[in-house]
Amino acid sequence: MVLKQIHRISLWEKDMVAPILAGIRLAPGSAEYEEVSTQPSSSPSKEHCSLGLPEFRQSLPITVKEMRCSYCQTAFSDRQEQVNHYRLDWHRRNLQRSIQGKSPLTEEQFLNESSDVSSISGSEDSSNEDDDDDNIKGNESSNQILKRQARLFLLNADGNVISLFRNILFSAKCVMDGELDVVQRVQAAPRRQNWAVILLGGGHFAAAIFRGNEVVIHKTFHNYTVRAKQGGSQSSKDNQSATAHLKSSGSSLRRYNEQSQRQHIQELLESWKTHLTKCDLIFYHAKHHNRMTLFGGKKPILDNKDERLRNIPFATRRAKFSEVKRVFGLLSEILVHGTEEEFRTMVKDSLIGEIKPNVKKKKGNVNKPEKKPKSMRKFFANDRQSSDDEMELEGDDDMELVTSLCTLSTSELGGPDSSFKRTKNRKFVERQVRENTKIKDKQRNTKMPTTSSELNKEGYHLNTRVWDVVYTACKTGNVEYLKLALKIPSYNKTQDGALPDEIMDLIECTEIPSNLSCITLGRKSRTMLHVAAENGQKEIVWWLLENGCDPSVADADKIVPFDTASDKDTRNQFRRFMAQYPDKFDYKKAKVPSPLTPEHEAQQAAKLAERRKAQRQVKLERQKEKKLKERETMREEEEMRRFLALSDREKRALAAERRFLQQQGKAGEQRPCLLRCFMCALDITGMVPFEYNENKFCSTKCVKEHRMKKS
Amino acid sequence: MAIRCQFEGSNEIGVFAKLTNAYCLTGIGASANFYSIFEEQLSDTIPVVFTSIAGCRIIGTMVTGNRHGLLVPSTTTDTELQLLRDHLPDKVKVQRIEERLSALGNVVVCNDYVALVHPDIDRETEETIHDVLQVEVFRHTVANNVLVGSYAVLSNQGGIVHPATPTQEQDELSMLLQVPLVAGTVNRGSNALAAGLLVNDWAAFCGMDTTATELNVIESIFKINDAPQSAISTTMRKALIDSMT
Repeated sequence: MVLKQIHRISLWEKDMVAPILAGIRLAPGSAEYEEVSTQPSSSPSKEHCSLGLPEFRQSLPITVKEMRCSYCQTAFSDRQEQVNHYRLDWHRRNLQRSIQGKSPLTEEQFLNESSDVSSISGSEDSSNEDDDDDNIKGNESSNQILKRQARLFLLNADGNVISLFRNILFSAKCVMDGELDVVQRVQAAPRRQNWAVILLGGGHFAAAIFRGNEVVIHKTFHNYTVRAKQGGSQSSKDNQSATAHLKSSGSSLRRYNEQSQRQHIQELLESWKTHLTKCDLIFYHAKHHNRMTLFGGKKPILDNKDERLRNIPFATRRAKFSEVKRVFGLLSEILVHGTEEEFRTMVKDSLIGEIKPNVKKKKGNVNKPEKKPKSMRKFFANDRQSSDDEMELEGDDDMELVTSLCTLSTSELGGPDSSFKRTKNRKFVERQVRENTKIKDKQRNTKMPTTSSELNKEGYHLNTRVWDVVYTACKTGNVEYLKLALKIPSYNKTQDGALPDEIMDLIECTEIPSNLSCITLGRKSRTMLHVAAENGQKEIVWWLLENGCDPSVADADKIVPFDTASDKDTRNQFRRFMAQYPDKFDYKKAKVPSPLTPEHEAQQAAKLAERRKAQRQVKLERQKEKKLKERETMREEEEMRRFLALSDREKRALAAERRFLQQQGKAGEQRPCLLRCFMCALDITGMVPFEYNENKFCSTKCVKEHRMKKS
Repeated sequence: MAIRCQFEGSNEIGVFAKLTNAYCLTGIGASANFYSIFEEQLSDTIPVVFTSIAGCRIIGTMVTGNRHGLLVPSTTTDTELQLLRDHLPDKVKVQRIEERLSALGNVVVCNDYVALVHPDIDRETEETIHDVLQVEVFRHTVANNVLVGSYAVLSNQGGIVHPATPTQEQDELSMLLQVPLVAGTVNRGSNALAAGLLVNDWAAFCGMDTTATELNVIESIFKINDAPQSAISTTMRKALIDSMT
């Protein structure tokens, strides 16, 4: 987009404004210009109107000399030609273009164009292409119309295009009535100096009355009405939920505040009434329920139908006095866009900007022939060249994003492998490089004779297989393999720890650094200890530690092996090792917290056992208690069942017995024996007896005995 | 004489009825008043049919047709289609069209020989119109309006177009359609001509609001004159005036 110097002039600077507004008319290319030019003029031509027309004129075919199509601007010699013309794609295209307000294509133009457009389907989907084609053709810019905007563009006597907000001139309902009307309104604008700006929203209120540039009176205040976090005013929330209002203290506070704010505003504006009536224009921003504050109520502050009322045609911020001043400043500005030529290019650019999304959208459409952003660019470039002062911006279009591949080599670490070529498998190679360089580094440090120079490409490949074995061994916990692979003599050789011969051969020719922690595996340069700890291979961990694999060597993510350990036992392995060899490694760096001696371990085990025992005890007790309770309830249930089995008469008798007993008990006398077990003669007075054949017993045992005896 | 009428208080009678030289369709109203106006005028020459299209009574907007055929939108139900086939003369072909612009009455205006259609109408629809209605089809606009069916009314005698149509366009259109055209209004200045006006070659109906001036224009362009009156004013006129001098 072209950045252009736009001058801003305040409406109130009389000496500046007067020359600018001299000899204005609507700028060609703006929406208003089109509107006014296509508008049927206020004095309608008589022949078009059937109402009150003096002469009734029929358009008879005989009177016309030639047959023609105005869309395609062609003439026909006979009827057949005419009919055939209307079937042509050319006519259809021109018809569509005329609907879009574009100039027609000549036949050659159409033919050229149609070579890259598949067909005109007759339906509207081809409209997008038309826009592009039009731009590519670079037709007269007179066809390009700016979309209707908040600003009104005017051309003044100096040939400059100026713009100011439409709202200053027209109210929303007011319709433009010809160019003269517009011009008159613009000329009058600087004389209408009394403006009011009222901003209202989110509990903030700010209003000011201006005369020219100076503030006559202003007022700002704020009430707590907006619901915190949820946003929105309390009243709108209340309206949303049909049920009863929320009763929270906050909500009632807000409700009250809204009410009081409304009142406050009404009182304030009432007191400003003299000022307001003098105002030529009243700009306000009040959305939703805030409108009600200004226009609602029994005695509305502002009249809805007031001609002076205007919306603010841009976004406003929080209603404060500074914002009011900003709004006023913006509204009262005249922008000078430069010459008509510059304005045209601006219009064109803005139109192109609009088209862009269409192009994008079309990409999804498979049927469409591929549109050409390239040619759009070309047009851009052409356009730029044609306008004189924008040559320096030309470079923008040619600028490209270059992605360059930058490789950081590790070759400075070791000479010979610098000739090493990248292969497809990047991951694989990276590992190789890192391993080799590290190893070699070490070798140099330890002043070992460098044999690595003999390693060729093949050698690397073989090498990886060795490291694979090492990795697998660490992961699966196979100490034998690990020993073999690392060429560390094993004291108790076993049969099963035999690797395939070829790998053994490879191992033979592989250099193993003396310091095992220099061997790193994978991209994160993890040591064997990492791998072993991660997989919980305690033996490997122990063995590696014993063989001098440093636990304080961190991987690429700065994680030490101790932290990667998967379970507590593996971690303990590190601590045990620390107890055994307290000085071997830097344990603090390895993040091993404390040594774990056997006594300590035993202590811990004992403690654990004790705790377990206590727990078991508690559990047992709980169980016993539960059992007891269960028995109790069982007995109670039994009793109830037995009681229910009794006939009502017996229940009553039982109740009577109990009552009797109670009375006796209260009296403190010896309880009389009313009922005895039929078998064992136990006193069962007041208890629910077991019974059969009208015989009553104290327990089932007695019942059983009785029956046995009888039988 | 053009007849003023209303459909249930609405002057937009063209929305609720369709009139051609071979048949007349009317929407189903609450009472038979509207229907009986047409029946009274037309029933001795052409059938007047009560119908609905897709259950709606806005048939004038939905269908298009002439003496050769009738085109109905794809939303028309089978029973409605059957009813139309039963009631219309055998030589009138009734066809359903699959067209995105389903309000055919708004997008097509035709007489028995030519038709103007909406610029965006499908090619297949265009073909169908050509075959069924036996007309030459032209894609065109009327006063920059694509809804040619709404802003133009056409009979074999003449046509009336949107009041804002420039003279040049009128000339071109009348050249194309081979009938005289005039720009006019109905219903006291309404430019929705098809909604306010129903014509065929010998009868015209318009909304109740139509003024006498508008009626005059309509009658003269469509040549709707009562026969005895016209005989006096045309054929016998010369003789009468001759004898007086």
